[in-house]
Amino acid sequence: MEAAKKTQSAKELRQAALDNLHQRIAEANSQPPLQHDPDCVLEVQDLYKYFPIKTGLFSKLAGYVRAVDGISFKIKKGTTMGLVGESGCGKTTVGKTVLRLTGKTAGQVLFNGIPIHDISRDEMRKLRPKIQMIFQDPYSSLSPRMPVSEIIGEAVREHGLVPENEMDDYLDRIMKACGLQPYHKDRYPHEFSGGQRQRICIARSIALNPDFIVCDEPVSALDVSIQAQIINLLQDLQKQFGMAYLFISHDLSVVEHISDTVGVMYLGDMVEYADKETVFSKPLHPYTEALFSAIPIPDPDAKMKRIILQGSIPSPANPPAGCKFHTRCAKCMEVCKHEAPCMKEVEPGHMVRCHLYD
Amino acid sequence: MEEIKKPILNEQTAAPEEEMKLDDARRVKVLSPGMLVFKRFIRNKLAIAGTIILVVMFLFAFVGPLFTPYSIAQQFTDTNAFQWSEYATVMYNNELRYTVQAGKTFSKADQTALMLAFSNYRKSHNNADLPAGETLEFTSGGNTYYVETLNPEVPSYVIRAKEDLATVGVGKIDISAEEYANDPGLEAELKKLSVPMAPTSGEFEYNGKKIAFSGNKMERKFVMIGDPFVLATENIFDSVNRDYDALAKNMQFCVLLEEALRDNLTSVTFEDKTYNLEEKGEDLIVRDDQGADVMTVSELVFGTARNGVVLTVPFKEATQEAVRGKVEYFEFPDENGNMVEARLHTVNANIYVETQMKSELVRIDEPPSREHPLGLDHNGMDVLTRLMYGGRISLMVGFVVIFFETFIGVIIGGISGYFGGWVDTALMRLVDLFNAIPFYPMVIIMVSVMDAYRVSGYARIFFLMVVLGVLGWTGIARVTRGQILSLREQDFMVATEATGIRTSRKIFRHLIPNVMPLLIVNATMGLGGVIISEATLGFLGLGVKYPLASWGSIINQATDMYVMRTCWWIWIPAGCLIMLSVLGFNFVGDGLRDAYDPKMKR
Repeated sequence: MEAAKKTQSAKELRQAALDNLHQRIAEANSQPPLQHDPDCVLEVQDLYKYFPIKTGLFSKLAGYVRAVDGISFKIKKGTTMGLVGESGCGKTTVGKTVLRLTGKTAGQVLFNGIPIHDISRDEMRKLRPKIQMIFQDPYSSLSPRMPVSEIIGEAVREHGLVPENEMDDYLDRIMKACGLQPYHKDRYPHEFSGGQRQRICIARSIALNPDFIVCDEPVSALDVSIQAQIINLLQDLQKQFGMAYLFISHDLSVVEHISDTVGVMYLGDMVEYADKETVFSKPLHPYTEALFSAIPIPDPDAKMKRIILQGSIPSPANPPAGCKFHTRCAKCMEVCKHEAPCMKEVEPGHMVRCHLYD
Repeated sequence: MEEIKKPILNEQTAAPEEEMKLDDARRVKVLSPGMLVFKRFIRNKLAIAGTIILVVMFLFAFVGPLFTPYSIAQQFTDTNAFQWSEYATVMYNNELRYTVQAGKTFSKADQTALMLAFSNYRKSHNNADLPAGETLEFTSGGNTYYVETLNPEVPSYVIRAKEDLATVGVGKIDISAEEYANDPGLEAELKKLSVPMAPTSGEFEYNGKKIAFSGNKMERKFVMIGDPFVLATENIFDSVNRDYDALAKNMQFCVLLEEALRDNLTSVTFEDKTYNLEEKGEDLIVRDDQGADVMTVSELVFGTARNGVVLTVPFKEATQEAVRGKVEYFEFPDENGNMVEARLHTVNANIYVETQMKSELVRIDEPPSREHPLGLDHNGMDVLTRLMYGGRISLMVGFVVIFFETFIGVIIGGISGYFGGWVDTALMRLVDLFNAIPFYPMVIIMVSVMDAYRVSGYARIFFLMVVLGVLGWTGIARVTRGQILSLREQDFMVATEATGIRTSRKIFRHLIPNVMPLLIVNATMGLGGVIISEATLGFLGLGVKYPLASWGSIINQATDMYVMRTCWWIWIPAGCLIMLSVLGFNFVGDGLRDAYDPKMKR
């Protein structure tokens, strides 16, 4: 009897949790349309991306992996936003969702004022050149059976951006801009090193004259010297072409180097969002503090105050109740265990999601 | 804004590097993936061996037939061949034949009674036959017969019957036998016994004939044992021609001859004619006084085995001699007096006399010679030529089937992998369904249907290809689906989506080229399998039908034990060709797989 009651209640609890999530999704979907700020290239409001977990013979919905759990940010034209966080916190999903490479669950994404998730596939395809992506793994992101010229030029031809007779010159210019030599054109990806491959990826993206590029950990697969070259290349290209970056990384020093604004993610939530200088000089969220305390200081005498996080990141399918970080937080309070904090502007332009600043 | 979009980039932005000209010696030679694969392939010795084998196979099968002087179903015959063929049959006669005097009867029932009497005699006399001079009495159908041995060596017997002679009462003599009706001597003898005082039973001899009587004082019945009227002998009286048939069936003459045979006489006289006898062992040849052959007496039964042949006495003489002497080859003079070679071919109790006849012979199972390097097969066709034409069909079936399989497999697997979801599930269940079809029963049913509809040779091959293809595409579909599923998740496919490439271009420029190596390898490896399947079907007699050939159906001839044991040149070469070409395809397939494998360094 007891056991039956228990399972009954467990079932009910699960159903209640599901209902709660569905309500949140519905709320986010019923938000009034976002007002477009002409200065911004990308505006994201309450973006949710849940992956359904289906079990059993009839694929019954058992829950969601809450990869992105209500995120809002804006990227201004020609600037770089860094997105940092542990592995599995949903950074890449944010990147793919703002590109509409995966569908959103709820929320709004405006690119130059266009709600990219609400337009037709065909319109989206025409819009693609304006939003580009650079991938983490330069080995799998290039089709092995195409010469470099075709990899870079394929989409340019596809969208008819450059007349065919100027194509060669155009590719030469782009390749030069990305640090590739024109004679590389006829080569195939397998003949290049990782850094050169990443340059090809970058060349493929910028050849389409994008307004916005999602850089999904573009340097994490490269060694440090090459990382610097690629980062500098990205910065140089930004100066020349004036595109905005969403720079996703778990490498804080790289983010510090390249970003204008920084968002810190934890388990699908944006926990802190501000200008780079603000975040790096005065991190407010305990998670950000812990994260930044791990940055090595190139001074052997400097005393490092490491904040060591206990345990590992919880499952995004079953995050802790209340503040998602409370299980690992050094400054955990009673309220954190029950109530989820909201994003608050603690200082002008400095948003934090923590009960410490209520 | 546009200025920024299309900038003129003269200054180098990163990684300054000395620019090289296209003809610069330091420049690393650019190799396309295809060239790379080719270079890796030609470094693989096994793959090269396989390629050479296949090239040789192809030349053999597709170019070879242009050079061979023979056609696929050309049968080679020998028009000047002599073949032993049956001329006559000879048999030892083991049963008694009855020659009955004209006007008398000796029925089957009587013959049976005689046999019964003989067997009873043998039982009571320790298996001994009736000796000469002794008489055995037996009855059949109310008549009493006496049999006595004429010549125990043959053996031959004569049979007499007890005949009613007369009934004698007091003062009354009634002679019933016609031949004695007016015989006064007999009448006198009977008169003596017509008085009541005379004995009532007894016997006496009259004219060398035994007469027995019995009865009472008033009436006596007289019976006599008549002349022999049946000759029972194992000898055959065989007349030379129709004119002497009556003589050969004349009982008295036959008895005379039997007696002459027994007594080794050299001549007999019958009906005022003298016949000369020549004894040859146990046989007797009868000639008339002019020396012309009349008949033969022999235990051997002759029969003709060929139309229009008359068995002459000299032939019989020679044959009898050969049979008695157990000689295999002998000669006899034919009607024109030419000596003909003959041989005896004994099958159980039958002996066949065979002579050589000129006839057109199919040169079956001929061993290799200069004209026919691999000999002739069981149908008298050139094995090498058939191997060439058979290779055409075998290889063609392999290629068409694998093309067909790959075509269906890529379409089904590609759709399944690219679209995923319920389409994938449905198509994969379809694949499972096809995998569950039992292959050989299906093919056997189809072949019997084709047999029933008398489908022609080439249509058969076509249907065979269709069935092999329809039942075989599932493997390739699975492989393609798997590969496309994994490719779909690769970053470069995400990149095509991110750069807004059309779906058709995504499939044909990005997916297909990346699936292609796998398909080529699979198809090459699969080719061997298809050729083996085809050969198996051919060997089971389900494949290509005569007169068309395939390697499998050529091996099918080895199901004949004789061919299998003695004619290696018929089936070993075909087996070797199948083995070599399958090996070749597998080597090339392995080589291609290694060459395409990006992990293999060049």
